[in-house]
Amino acid sequence: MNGDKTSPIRNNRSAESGLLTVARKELTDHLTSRTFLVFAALLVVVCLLPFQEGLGGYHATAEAYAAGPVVHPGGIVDEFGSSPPSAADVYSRLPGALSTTGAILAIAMGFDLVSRERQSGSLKLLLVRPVFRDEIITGKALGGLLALATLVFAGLAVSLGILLVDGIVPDTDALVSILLFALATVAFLAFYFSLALTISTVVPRTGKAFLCALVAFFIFTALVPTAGAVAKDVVVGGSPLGTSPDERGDYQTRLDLLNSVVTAFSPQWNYELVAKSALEPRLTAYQFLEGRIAHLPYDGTAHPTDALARFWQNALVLFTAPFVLFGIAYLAFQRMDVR
Amino acid sequence: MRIDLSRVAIIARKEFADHLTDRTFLLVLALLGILTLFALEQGFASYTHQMEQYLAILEMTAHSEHLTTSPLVSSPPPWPVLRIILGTMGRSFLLFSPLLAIAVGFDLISGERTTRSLRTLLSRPVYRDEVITGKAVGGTAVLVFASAVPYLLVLAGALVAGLTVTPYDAAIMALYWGALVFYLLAYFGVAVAFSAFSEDGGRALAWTMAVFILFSVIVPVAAEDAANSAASSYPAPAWPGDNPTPDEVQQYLEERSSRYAAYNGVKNTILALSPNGNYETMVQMLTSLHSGGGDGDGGAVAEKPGLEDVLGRFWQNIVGLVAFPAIFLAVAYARFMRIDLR
Repeated sequence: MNGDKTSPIRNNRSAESGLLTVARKELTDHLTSRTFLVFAALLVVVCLLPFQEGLGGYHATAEAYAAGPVVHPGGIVDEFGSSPPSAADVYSRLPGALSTTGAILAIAMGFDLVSRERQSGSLKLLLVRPVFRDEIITGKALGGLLALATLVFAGLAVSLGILLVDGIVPDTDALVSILLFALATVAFLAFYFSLALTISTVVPRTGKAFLCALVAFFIFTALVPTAGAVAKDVVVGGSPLGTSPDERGDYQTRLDLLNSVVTAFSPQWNYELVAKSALEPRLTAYQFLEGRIAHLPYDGTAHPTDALARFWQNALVLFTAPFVLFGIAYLAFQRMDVR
Repeated sequence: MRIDLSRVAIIARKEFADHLTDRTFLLVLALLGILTLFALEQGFASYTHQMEQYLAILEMTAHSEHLTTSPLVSSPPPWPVLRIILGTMGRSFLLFSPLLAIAVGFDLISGERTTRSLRTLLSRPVYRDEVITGKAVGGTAVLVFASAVPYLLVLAGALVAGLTVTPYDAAIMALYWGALVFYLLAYFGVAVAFSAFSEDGGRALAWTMAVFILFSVIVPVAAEDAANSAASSYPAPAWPGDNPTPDEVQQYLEERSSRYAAYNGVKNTILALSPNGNYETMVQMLTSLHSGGGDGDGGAVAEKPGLEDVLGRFWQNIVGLVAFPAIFLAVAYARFMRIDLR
């Protein structure tokens, strides 16, 4: 049994070790692939500036809080500086910044997993070995997921180090928030990775597979939000100014419904919403079509998962969508005709 | 030795037909068409909304005792609805139209290498440079054709909706189209260059997307950063007190404008290196041109100097937009000539 860890290839009679072999090989392939490294470097560069701005924002809020609340004439207290900054705020600009680059990174990782093996004929050779088909596809998915998680958590470790060097010590709540944000990021990347893997199983040529994945990305990123904006005009209608409160309430209900539907169907927005609610527990509304954000007042009682509980549907969609896509890839791979 | 244009034409025609019947290409084109239709819908919806508001204000002022000197009434109905539509399209095309160019370009050479048809092709009596030139010409032609589709849709939509399209509007639309053609050509060039270097279409596409991210996400941020640090050598002037003398105000304005000049100069120079920056600047320029010239009936007087002046101001963007595809196509050409086919 000791041989399990040292030489899993010899132990290929058990189902698990075949899976682990494929996953380990895929993980090393990803981490040493030039494309992956280039895109990871691009991702880091994209995140640098928002993170730096986040650090600046943290210090500005801390100074304003130390100076005491600003009370305007009329008893209105200035929102800025009325509450102590949280270390999670430093990350709040990242979700919007990294979504496009991250999605393309994930697509670049997944698009050729099956199609290249088919194109180069190595899939046939692989399948004559004593390894089951489901182990191959699950191992590939697992290896990719591990590579994505490695990337995200390495980034997280480095960023936490920078926080400490900068003199910001996150408390437990902030740490939980940041961890949830990292998990949401992995789930978002896994969505596009699974999408690319699925397309790679269906489309035999690598170039075509990448292009199809990009078209899907295009539909999710450009078409869904624009269609939402048009649907706002057509379905919800104009804002009923100066009408009865009933009509305004009705209008608001329709608008909320449309917002939640469009957000659930746009992976970027969905991810942004979940990541923002992980980082900011006091979030109560984040509407993309209106550009409206609402928070609860600061009273020190918010727990890290409060906002996530409020947006549980979106979190559910974010974390289950990759599995659904993987299921399709699994079925397609099982029934694939390899000749 | 001179290139036989008839052989180039044969290859170009075949490429053109191939792309036009390619399902993925047609899908991307259809998506761009849908985006255009959405932009049209939004533009007309906002136009109707404005018209309703205008009528409501007219009605209110008609009932009131005062004469119609209100500033709200002084803006007459012909709002530049075309400008809104074209501006919206320009912004959404900035991020999504490169996909069309990449779809045309990425498999141009690598596809023939993967399927091994390139060797068969080169065993025919045709020179290598004719093959690459024909492919580039065919791809360019299909991009010129495809990028005209959204603008023809806008033209048709405007005419169906009963808008008057003046020759000036048509000229502006043609300029939008020209900017889009060069923007598409830029990414077509990048895709062809990587296609020549990579034996596999997927790899070529991955590298092209890396370049796209570099120019669409990182270069603008870097330009902003560099411009900020350049502007910081001119300290931000302080507003001179509560009761400033005219001299102090003058000095304040001069200091502020020199700061902005430094900022914009650095930013524009860096953005001129990237096709995205150039295209964005051109679209903004055309949008401002449209609002300056096509607004109301006095447009005919203002249009001509406006156009030349603005084109003169943005000559670096135009040069950048033309030079970028030229460089990448030249790289693809050189690489294709020396490619080792075994």
